[in-house]
Amino acid sequence: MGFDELLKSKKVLICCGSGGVGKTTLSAALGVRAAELGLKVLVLTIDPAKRLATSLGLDQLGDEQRQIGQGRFVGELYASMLDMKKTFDDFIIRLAPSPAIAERVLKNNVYQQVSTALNGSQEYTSLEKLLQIMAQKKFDIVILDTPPTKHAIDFLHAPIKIHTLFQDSIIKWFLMPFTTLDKMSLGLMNRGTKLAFKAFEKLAGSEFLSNLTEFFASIREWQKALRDRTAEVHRLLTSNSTGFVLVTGFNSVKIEEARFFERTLKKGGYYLSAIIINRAFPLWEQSEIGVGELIDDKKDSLGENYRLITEYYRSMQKFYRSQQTAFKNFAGEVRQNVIFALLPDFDQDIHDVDSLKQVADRLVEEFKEQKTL
Amino acid sequence: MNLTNQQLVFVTGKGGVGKSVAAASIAWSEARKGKRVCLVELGSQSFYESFFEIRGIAYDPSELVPDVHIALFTPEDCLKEYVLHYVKVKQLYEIFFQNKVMRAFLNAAPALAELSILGKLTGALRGIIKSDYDLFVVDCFSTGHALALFRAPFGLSTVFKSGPLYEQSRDISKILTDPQLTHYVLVTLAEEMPVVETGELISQMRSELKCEPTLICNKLLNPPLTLDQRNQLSLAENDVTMKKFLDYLAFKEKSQNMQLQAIKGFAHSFYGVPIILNATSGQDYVEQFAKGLEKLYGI
Repeated sequence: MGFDELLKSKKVLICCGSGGVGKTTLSAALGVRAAELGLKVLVLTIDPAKRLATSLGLDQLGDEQRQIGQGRFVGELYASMLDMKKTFDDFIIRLAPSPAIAERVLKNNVYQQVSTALNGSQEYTSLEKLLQIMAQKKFDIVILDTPPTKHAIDFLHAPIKIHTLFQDSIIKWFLMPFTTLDKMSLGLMNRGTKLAFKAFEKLAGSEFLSNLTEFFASIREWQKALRDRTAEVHRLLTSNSTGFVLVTGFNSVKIEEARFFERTLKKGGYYLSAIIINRAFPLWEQSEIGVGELIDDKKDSLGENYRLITEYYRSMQKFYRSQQTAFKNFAGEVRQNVIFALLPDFDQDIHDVDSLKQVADRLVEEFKEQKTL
Repeated sequence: MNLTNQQLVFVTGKGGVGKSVAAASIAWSEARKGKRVCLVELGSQSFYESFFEIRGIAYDPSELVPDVHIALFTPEDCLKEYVLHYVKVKQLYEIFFQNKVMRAFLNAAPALAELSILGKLTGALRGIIKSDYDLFVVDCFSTGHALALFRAPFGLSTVFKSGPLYEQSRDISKILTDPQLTHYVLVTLAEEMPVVETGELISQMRSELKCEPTLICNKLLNPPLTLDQRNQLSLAENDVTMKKFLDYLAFKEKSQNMQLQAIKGFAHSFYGVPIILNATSGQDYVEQFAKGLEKLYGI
């Protein structure tokens, strides 16, 4: 399987990777390729730094789905940026049993401070948005560019934190002493819980705690809806029409991370479709051995300056070659059905549809070459 | 790099620009000047273990080289120490952390982990804990997450209206905005996206933290010949690879210069660190990097 087959066979591609590896650019490049193949594709980015917008030469990319390069492709390319606050608010409004309750939550001080700041809420919201988009059935394929995390795997772990927070038991726990606020309920709590609660109150102050309790009281009603939603997300992520693409940089630390990512996905029942090693070598240093050799015999006649620049060339070449060896060892370890691609460091800034197309062409081409590795 | 008496240095930047190496190099060069330095990495996994090929980097600092100690501050460890500090009784804090519900809440709660990390880092400055170090150099999170870390105490002092967390948030905010105590370093590459992001970050930090961050521009290309000298080389007709290489250098240098110009739009000076191609070990890498921190380029 190559990238073309991958794009044609999946409904969702999730691009993961730690920050700074070019995830957004590659998501956009895959989007361009999908549109060239005649698909109707949406690239959804979450990144607050608006990198996809820069990648596409658009200054402002909003919550709405904007068509890119209309008429340039056989298919259609759309891009959209996640508005976290709006998605979270919409989510609350839709799940709330009544508009009054929704309003109470939206106005709650704790909700306002925490909704977009909760650990994992960015990831949770992006998956919520993905579900909404999938329900519209408007696109052949959606490419999700995930938020920048320290480690690629964080994307999968983060939503679990949110889910746990909204679980029935924790909500009940926070409600207990305040909804009934009498000695009885405190008496009914076990000793450990009571002490932990008191310790928390001492730390956070009672005003915060009552705000928090009000927040949990408001959302108590929609436990089932939340649980269903989480199950739906999980179904979508483990579906065989969803593929994960790991985008990574090129050094031994990143390769270690890729190895961990691959193993964790396998364990969790997710489908890893591709590993893209970005900026693995400069364009002059071709991946095949033999190309990229200098004409050595003339060097004496060309003088000191030629010697100097040759030395510089050699140190750069050595640097990139040692990285490639590490990659090849890693590629050998991974399953056969995962696409591997090494991308060069392009001699230009990637910021418009034309340059994205170049990246996409290279992806397809690189893969063909590397199959014979 | 010219640090005066600051006791806390945060190093941040877009992912992949070389923050961690920059932080280690700052720790190195400050230790050379006779300070006792603690290099701190944040998060749950250590980068420096594989980088320096050592083991056992943990919450309690250990010696990396004389005068540079190294520690990994995980949010869990910071939270534990933090809660223990406030609840005093050890049994109580164990109950606190063994409680399933409380743990779920603490894991997801925004800013609590951040506050506890900052609490630990500023503990000595607030006179709460005794410190063995003159300086903490923090290999901080990347751009967006770092900003969330710095903002945490400001946000929290509006959420908590009273109690120890309120007072602590307020005190930490004061330290983060005091240029005599805290310094910020931003690492970037001379490439369009990192430069744009650094520009945005620097203006946010100036307005919110009232600080003037130091800029490090990493992985600069420094060919041994100037463009003119390279153009004067008379290459053999079939020396295709060298031609390609020279084109590459010309292109890279041109875009690098453009980005250094763009940096002018938001900074007065920066440290330039050349790309390091021949490091034999993590320590060698750090020492080569530290040389780049000796000269400040005015713009």
